[in-house]
Amino acid sequence: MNPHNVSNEQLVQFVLGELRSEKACEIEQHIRQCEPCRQAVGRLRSLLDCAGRMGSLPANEQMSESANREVLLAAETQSKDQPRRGIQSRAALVGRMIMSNRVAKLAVAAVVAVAVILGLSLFTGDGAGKAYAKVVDQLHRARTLTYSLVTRTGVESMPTVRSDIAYRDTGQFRTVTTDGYITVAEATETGAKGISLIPHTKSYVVFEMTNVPDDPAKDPWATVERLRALPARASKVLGRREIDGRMLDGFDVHEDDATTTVWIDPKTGQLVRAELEFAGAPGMNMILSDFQFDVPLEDSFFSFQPPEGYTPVQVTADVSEVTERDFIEFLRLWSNWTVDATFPPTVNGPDIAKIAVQMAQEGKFVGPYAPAYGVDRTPQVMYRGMLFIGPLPTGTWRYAGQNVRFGDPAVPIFWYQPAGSPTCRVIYADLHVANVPPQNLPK
Amino acid sequence: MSNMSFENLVNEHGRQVLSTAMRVLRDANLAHDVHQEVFLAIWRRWHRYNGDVNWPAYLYRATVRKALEMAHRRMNGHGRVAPARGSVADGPDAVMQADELQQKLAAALARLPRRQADAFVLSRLEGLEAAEIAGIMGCSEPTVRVHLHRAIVRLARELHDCLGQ
Repeated sequence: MNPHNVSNEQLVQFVLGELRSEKACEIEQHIRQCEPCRQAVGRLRSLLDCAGRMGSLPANEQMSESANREVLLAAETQSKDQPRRGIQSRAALVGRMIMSNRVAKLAVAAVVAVAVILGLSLFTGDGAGKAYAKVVDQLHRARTLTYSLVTRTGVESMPTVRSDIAYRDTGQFRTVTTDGYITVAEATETGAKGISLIPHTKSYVVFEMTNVPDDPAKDPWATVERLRALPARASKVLGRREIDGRMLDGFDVHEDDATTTVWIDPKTGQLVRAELEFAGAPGMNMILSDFQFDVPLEDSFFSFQPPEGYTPVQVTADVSEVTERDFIEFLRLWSNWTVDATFPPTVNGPDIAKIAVQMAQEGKFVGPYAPAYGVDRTPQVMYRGMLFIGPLPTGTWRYAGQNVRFGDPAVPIFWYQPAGSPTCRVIYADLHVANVPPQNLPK
Repeated sequence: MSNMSFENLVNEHGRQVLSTAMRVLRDANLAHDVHQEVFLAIWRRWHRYNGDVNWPAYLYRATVRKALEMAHRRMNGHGRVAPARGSVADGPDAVMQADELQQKLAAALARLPRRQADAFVLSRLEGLEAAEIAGIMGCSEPTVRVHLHRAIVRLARELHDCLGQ
């Protein structure tokens, strides 16, 4: 009760329009003269306005279709499990949600792939340790290799990705996520080809990447070869520690902005665990465990034959001759894809993959792919656009497109200086390009 | 056993469940969590339901309850309920203030007595009439109004410093 002969209840009824007209007039007159009551009414109206804004957030059809599919899949899974499982963990839920979005799934795959590339490239360096050297030798000689991989992305709302990896030294890979998504791939002369199975839609994607740049850092197959060719000595011996109830010997390898820690069982000399961390991706780490060497892997394990009843989706990605036009097309695609027609928050490859997943979860895209590009072209255009940025030397380019909407021809969003050119290329928010002397660049 | 198949139930009401959860939590991930928890809880007891279940009412109750539980857990945990955005026509300060107020309102909602929170969410976020809310909550319209008024008074008191004036 407030001290002005009008109860809080009456003020609430007044604001909700529940009072009879005489009483409402009476209250209205009162609050004209009574500052505290006028303020109280103002606060009530602010509260209801705020609630009204919260109420304007309906789920769109696509979100609900995705959620419905997930819950039906989970229900089906529960029906099959004995004993019946509890509710899936949030990570598993989010993982399935992400994996139900093809592009987001590709983005996760990109994050994982980049991490693998970065991580595996760490196994170079110099140091000491016979046990370490023995493991390296085992990796080098392995005909087949299987292990579990847990990737934490470092983004709170992103899932921890768990998968089982199998590799055969004939250049074949197979990954299976805990949610049952299977990818089988093998190296080709100009890139890679493979198949991904999407169980909940009973579909499969056959992919073939051609003209992959001849750069081992971009080729996952080459990086595995590097893993198998680990140097015989680590850079630092960590000593013995207890991990998961086992006493293990640790060895660190430092290279550039990443650290790899290898843990070996001193009793058996076996590689037990490897941990990868990346200074350029804070919070991201990968844990490799359950290594098995030279276990028989049947040809059928790496088969490109989809299960019966699965329907195909074809994806082809030609990554040759990436140019500025590819980058502009990538910017155009992103602004076409986002709900508010803005450009990407960053153009850094690993970051953009993480951000794409996060934005997909937050409903900031108009759909699972950019409408003007379709399901097949979206990942290809994204990939080619990111490839343009990669080789540009640090300090020769700058991106300023964060929070900028497509359309304003006066707002520069990206500029870079091509090698040997006296002028810079500036891309504006309407995606036209101009040559600008360095002294005239935006500050 | 319900005459409706579980798949039909999910397809028919899934969007409503997700929307309600979104309005309370303003976070697509959390709303998905609520959606899944609500439907899987039903699925585990599916064989017990008979044919006369008022599913819209049941789902409203279950969703609001689960969403508020989740908001409460998030408030007490490491995370926080994500802020919604103000109108794009608002300036950055206004958007920030709207974000902050909505976040605090979600937190305060999670602390309300359950019946008051149900009445407030169904009335002010879902836009339902008192008669509809009464049907969902299983009480009379006057009782709905009592819960709603108490919720508003309590929320206004808790958010006093954020509501201006």
